[in-house]
Amino acid sequence: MKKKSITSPPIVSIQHWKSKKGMHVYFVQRPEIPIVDIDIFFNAGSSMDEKKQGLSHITSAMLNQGTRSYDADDIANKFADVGAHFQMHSTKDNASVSLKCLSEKKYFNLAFKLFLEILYSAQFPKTAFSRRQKQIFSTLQMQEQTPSYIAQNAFSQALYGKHPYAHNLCGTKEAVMSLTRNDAEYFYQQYYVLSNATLIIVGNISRHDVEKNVARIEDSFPVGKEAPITPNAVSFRNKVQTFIPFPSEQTTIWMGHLGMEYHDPDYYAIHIGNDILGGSSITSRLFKKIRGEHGLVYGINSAFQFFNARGFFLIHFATQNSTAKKALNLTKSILDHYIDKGPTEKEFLLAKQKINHEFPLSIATNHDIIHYLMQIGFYKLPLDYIDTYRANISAISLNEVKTALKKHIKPDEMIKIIVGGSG
Amino acid sequence: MSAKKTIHEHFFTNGLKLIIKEDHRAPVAIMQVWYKVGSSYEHNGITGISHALEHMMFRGSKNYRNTQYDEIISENGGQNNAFTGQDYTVYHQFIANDKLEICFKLEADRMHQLLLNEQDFKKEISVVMEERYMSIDDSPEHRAYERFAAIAHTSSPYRHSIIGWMDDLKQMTVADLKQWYHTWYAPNNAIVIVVGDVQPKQIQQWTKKYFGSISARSVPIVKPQNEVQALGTRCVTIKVPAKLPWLALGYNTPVLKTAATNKQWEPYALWAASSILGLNSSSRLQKNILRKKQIASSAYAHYSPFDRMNNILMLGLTPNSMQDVEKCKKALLEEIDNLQNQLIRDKELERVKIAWIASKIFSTDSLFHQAYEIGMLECVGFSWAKIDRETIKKIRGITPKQIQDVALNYLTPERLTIGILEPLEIKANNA
Repeated sequence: MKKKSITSPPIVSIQHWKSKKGMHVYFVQRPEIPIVDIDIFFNAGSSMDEKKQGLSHITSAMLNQGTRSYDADDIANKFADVGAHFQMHSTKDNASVSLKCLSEKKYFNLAFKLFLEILYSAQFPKTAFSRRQKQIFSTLQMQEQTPSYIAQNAFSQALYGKHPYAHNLCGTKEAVMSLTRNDAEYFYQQYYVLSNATLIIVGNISRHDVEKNVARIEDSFPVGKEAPITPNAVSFRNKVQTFIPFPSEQTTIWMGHLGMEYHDPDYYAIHIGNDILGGSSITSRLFKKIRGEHGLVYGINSAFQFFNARGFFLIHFATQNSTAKKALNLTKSILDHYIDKGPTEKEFLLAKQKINHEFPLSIATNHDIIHYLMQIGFYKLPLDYIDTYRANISAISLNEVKTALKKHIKPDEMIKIIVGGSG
Repeated sequence: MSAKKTIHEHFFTNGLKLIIKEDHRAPVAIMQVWYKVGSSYEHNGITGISHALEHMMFRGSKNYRNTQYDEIISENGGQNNAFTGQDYTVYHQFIANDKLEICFKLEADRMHQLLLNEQDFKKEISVVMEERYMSIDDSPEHRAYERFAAIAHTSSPYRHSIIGWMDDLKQMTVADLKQWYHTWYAPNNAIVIVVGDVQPKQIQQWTKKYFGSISARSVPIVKPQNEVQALGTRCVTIKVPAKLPWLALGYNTPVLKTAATNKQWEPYALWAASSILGLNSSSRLQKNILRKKQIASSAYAHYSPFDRMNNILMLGLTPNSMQDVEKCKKALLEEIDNLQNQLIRDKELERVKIAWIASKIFSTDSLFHQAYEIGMLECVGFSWAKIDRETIKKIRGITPKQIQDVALNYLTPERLTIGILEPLEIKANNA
């Protein structure tokens, strides 16, 4: 990522500090609406599963199932008593807990107290654990009846091979059923620790109160150790085409290959390049041709997905079985031509203009700010990422886009997963 | 809470209504144009026409041909899209506040001079069919829900899905769309809503400038089409390739719009009953069926007081397996029984009340949602401002006795429809 510095006042005033015991804190004060959001991201995603597939996910799903003083019903009731939303979420890279709460003290204090209790004394009761196993089993069955999940799981597997990003974060049915509550408790003790945490607070709360709350988190929470760094992904396979027969009206197609890292110097150039190809949806080349001119799909887009250790480039769509070949060939020819010739001068200028004009839309709400803080905090983007974004886009030349496209998109090295009624 | 925000309402001589809600947190604005037409306005044979027309609204109008509409919004850094509901069709733009004027020009043009070209229609109806395959036909649960709704409603047009039956889509012509467009798209059948960092005077001027010259048109009087009285439990089994069963219970229920003056409390009590059953993880279905009995992996309850016509209060479950379906059905009926026979405790009622209040406040973070709430109510004939003031009071006033009363009156076997998705083996060639 390039870096431009600017001097005008920040778009979002981010307060960032390292707490006494070393936790990174990112805070944005937003007094306009009486809400506080607190999110903690742990470096504890499915890439830490090692041999126990699905462990990160079930550990995260167990957090609200019992603490030292409360069972799952108590926890649900207590958050509901104050209208708070408590959620757990996990990805390939991280596991997070989030609390959305009314900022009025009588609500906030109760919700925050329970939030703390969950963080430091999750208990992993046996009966709750077996219930979660069954629920995840159902989730996996749901995925088996849904073509887009079938394609996604096969794509990930073909893309990453033996890398820790390869497996479904829910695990497999066999793997999930063989996990134990002790596995989850051990995972929790190892990774849900201060050294491995990024704290994000946005909303109607003062810096003083945030500091008090940070101190409370630190008092009750072990320091622990940082999680090991996920090894960088290397190409496992390319040019693979897998057909998975499925009794659906449509054929679902996922095609792509390994992508880039956040910190790649081509980050901004590829954003512009991909926007024209299929990132901007409605006005992109893929959308206009395959949906607009040919009416073959409801949606089609292309995207670079970013992870800690190399994400991927992906184009995906679904079309009636009888038009799958046509749509696939059209996509390939649009892609070939675009990577070969690059965007036109006009497309390039319009895309830059569009990206810069639409940037304020992406940062209008508290929810948006949390999303940016997660990227800045967890993925270590520069603290002035938001303020320099438009200048960085403006600085890119057409040639840089053309070069970046050639370097990062390889139409002939794609993995293609085809799920449906036509090979 | 949101009442502190400044709201402005204006009527124009051609019948167009404008509502502005200021939110100055960021230099952006959302504009939505709502038309009072949706799938519940359609009769058999033309189902899905409101939604198909929504697609054609992006295929050019007199002064903005082909895909110019999307291109202009995009060049200006805006995001635009549309959605069709049972009771409305909505077009929306999200854009930096200094670029907002162009949205008025574009929306006004397509309000009264849409092209509706034959060639474009052929492509677009094919896109709509792809959308139907993706969202309904290839999704076991959505396919089951579509069939369930067609049984739960007997005479009400809520019985068909928004996207319409495939056969109706295949038979649809551009002439049908032209007629539908000329029937319903008129300033006197539309509401413009703007939420964001805007100057109300300026918005009013732009609305007048661009929409003011569009003539009012006579729009059909919408018949009530009240659902016939339910006469007994209906059951439907849906057999499709799947791994998981699905179970739904739906009760024909009144809504605020149809409730008598002295029974305006009923829809709120029904909302509370539905929330006590399945709003969040503290609700009874989650507690008793997911956690205690462990016979299903997910559960929800849904009821909205604000639909245009009588609708259903619905409970949905994903049983763990076909063996658990009967147990799940029994468990759901027991929950209904409990609501009818035991007054709920105040503490439990307080939880759903605070949930309503909190969710109202949480939703003020989103400009889209703020505009949506206004449009959704205005489109079925409520004054948003009035409802917004009254609802909190109505919600706070719900009593345990009222919940018991609506459970006894409306959650009855006569009003019940049961839908069961029975999975067939997934074999590659039984599409």
